[in-house]
Amino acid sequence: MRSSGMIPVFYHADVEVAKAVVDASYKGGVRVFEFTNRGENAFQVFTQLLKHAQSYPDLILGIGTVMNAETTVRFSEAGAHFIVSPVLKAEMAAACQKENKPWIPGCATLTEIVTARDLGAKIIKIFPGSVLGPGFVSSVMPVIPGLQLMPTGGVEPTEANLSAWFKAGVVCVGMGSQLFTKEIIETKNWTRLEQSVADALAIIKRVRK
Amino acid sequence: MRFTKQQIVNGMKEAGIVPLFTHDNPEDAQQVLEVAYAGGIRVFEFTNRRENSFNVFRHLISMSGKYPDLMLGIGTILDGVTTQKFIDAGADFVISPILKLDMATVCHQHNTPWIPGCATLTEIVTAKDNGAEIIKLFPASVLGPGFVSSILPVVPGLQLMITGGVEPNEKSISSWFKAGAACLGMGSQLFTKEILEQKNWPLLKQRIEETLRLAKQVRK
Repeated sequence: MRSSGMIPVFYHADVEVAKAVVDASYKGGVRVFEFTNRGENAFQVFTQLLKHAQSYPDLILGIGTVMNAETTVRFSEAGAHFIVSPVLKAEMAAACQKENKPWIPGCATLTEIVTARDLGAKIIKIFPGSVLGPGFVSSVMPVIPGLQLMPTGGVEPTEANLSAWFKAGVVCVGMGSQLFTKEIIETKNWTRLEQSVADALAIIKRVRK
Repeated sequence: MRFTKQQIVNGMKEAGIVPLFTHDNPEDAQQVLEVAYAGGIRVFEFTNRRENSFNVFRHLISMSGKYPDLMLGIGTILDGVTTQKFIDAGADFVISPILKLDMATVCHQHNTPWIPGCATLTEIVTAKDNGAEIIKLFPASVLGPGFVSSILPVVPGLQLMITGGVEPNEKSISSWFKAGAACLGMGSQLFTKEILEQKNWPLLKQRIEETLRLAKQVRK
């Protein structure tokens, strides 16, 4: 996550679309991908994606929008490499520890962040990122040095936005609808998606220097 | 104990400004503290952000004869054990960037003010219910004065210390007090990198005097 700088966040009920998005993202340079548990058949699509991802031995594929320990275990046993949540739920920490999987909880205050860290989270998701803003990250980093924060929600694939986040001190960013725009998905324009992903990663490389 | 809890709570409200500062050199830290004191500061938060902060803090306490009526507390404390350690060393109050309840227990045992950092109304009310009289709002620049003016009618009587991004100018100071803040914490905006590097103490004293004057003026 640290080295890639960007984790795409995506959900689609159609496994073929999901596969195509993973393919295009991989071609664009993505090596860590978060599929989200946001629809009824998310579990089925995810297990098929895992099978599909076997052709990419260096792709790390995790599950997001997980809210409790039971779902954590279910996805972990299916083969999820990491578990992301929009909330801070302590029972998920215990489940992830048992499964030996990274637990990335979503936090929105420094109290939540420190609680997450004390429960063993190495990377902590800042959500909703656009509400808190890069100013939140630059305010908390000097207070608790060594935090590894990943803002998600409203992060834009532009130089201005990415540079603001990385200058504030984030370790990586999560990017969903801003990257996988409705238009790209509807028109199945995978070449353009690959290009957008590659562009975003190039910007991150540049602003991190 | 040099001050009662009530004296400290009142002291913070009267001062309006609580500077926060850290330094890993004891003499330099003392110098800054003396300049702040000369500029009119009577409540000061030293922050526990360096490896040797405890020793520097003990040095500052040992020199308290030089600033006898100064209330000197410790900030950036994250747990009960560290709280205990600094209270034993003589901290007049304990400030945290987070809401951690084991700190409340330790502070109450010693009748020492506990000032936890909160960022939502749920955290604030939890802090209040656990005995916090003054609650720090952090990071304030993210929440903004509008946050304070929104919650005060809902939970009247809250005494909020605003920290994180407060600027030493009339616009910023007045916006927070108008919203209903009890006092303002000010760190890097007051003790600028430039002032510290140049050791420009006359400028620092002037900046502090001006900030205290503004705080007084906008609260009239």
